[in-house]
Amino acid sequence: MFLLIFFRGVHKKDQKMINDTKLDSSFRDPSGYLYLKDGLIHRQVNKIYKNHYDHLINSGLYKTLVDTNLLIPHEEISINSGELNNAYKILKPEQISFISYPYEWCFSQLKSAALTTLEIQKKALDFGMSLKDCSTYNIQFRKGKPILIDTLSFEKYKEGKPWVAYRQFCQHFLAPLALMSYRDIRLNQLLRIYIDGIPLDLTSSLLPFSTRFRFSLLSHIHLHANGQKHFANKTVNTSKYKFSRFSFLSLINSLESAVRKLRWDANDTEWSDYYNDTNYSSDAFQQKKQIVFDFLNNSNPKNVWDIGANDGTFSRIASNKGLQTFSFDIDPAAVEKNYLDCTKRGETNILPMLMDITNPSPNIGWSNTERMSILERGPAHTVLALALIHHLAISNNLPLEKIASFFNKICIGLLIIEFIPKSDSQVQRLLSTREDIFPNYTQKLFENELEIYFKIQKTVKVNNSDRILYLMKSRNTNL
Amino acid sequence: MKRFMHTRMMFTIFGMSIFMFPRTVYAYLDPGTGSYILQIILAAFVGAAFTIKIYWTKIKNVFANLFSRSSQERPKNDK
Repeated sequence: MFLLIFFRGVHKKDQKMINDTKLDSSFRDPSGYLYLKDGLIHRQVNKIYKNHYDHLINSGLYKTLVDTNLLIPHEEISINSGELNNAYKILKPEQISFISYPYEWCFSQLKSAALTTLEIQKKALDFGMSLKDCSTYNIQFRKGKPILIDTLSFEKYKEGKPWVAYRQFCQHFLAPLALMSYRDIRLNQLLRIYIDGIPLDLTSSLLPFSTRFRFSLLSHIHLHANGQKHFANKTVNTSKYKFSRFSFLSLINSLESAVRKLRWDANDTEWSDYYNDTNYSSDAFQQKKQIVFDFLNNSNPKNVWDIGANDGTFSRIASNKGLQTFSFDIDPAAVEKNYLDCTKRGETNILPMLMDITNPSPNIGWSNTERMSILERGPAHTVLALALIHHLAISNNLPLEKIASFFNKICIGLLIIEFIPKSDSQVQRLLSTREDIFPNYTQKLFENELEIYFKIQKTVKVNNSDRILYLMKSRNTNL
Repeated sequence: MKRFMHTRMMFTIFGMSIFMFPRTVYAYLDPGTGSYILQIILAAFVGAAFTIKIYWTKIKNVFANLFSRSSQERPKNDK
């Protein structure tokens, strides 16, 4: 049912241990499960799911969804007899390069994922099928667009029954979007606490009273929450109630219209205007871009993590070279702008993500293994850390040795890092309202700490500023 | 048929009243039942909205076709 652990095996040290073994993923769904073989994700379809799977393929739904980039394509591979019990088919899906989670998405990413899910549901109904679950974790971003990765999410539609995944859709998509839109953009972080979506009673109590005057939110959130409470301890014979196909389509239409109407304007946050608030000239800014371009050009990066990417200006230097680039920032407005730029330009190899690097996504869920921490999804080959260190060291009191050790964990290849000394006016701004308790924040000590893990290959000073850019190579790398 | 409509209306009104004035229940035993019943009750409302939307789209299309046809025909007339 849920695609819970997907790429754990990419982590080389774990790979051998769990190779060819069933992952902790999809343990809630009897239809099948995921396992790793030769470092690649495979999916077993159990015999119990045979009829549904055959209908998915034979009805033409699979082809339609794959042709419209709504469902991950797969190939069927031969079953190794005796090795896999209960197997009807073995699928080798196209591999997703990076798994991201809804608490790492901006508003428009979650909204796109919601609309994609409803689009899939509408197409499924055309072919006599329906989604049996609606987890956000079944949606991933591939080539810049949301796509369903759980091939076993479909079941044959039986007219007369309501939508079994209605509650889940409301909790996983509608509730966080409504909270982000009407209350506070940061409330998507509740998804990190509530792994099966934000409870509707909590959503109802957090939303402003005025949302009760919007029919879609009144019905799908407030009345829904009250209904759950009312019937929580009651036994109801649901078989006597019929829900026509037209009602089903009307419900999907109502949810789609509810999602479409939800909006968030990414203005007026701490960072949204950052690049107009810098203390260096446009010439220096252009030079900085050229330095990063040259650093990337003279090396051979496999993929790039841009930490503190803001709106992705520097990430695009990497992604425009065709590199898979993951663009992290703490500010929801910056990530929103980055994502909207991606969709506007049709960019396929950059994924903006929301991340507070001082408190990055942890391992969560059952047994702390359902969702991977950011470290587990790494390490990256190349890391960009531009205009970041002063925020970590001064705003967050992180010692340079801890910062260096962290970069060693997430970077196995190249580190392109900027040091901004105390003399810089931006650092002075950070120090203006606090005591300077950072005697170790010097260029020399910064270099010493980083050199424990990295070799400095190039150092370039940005013109007309005190800023210095470094190209460093991990001491552990053979790449 | 009339009786059926009447029963359905009564069910809807009764159902909505339950959802509008809930009692406080602290234990979550089965949130699925509420979601199930709510869909049955909402069916009439979302169905009506969907019907209006379908007809409204049809009306808009008729006018759109009418205007696009007349604008396509104009050059012919000019000849």
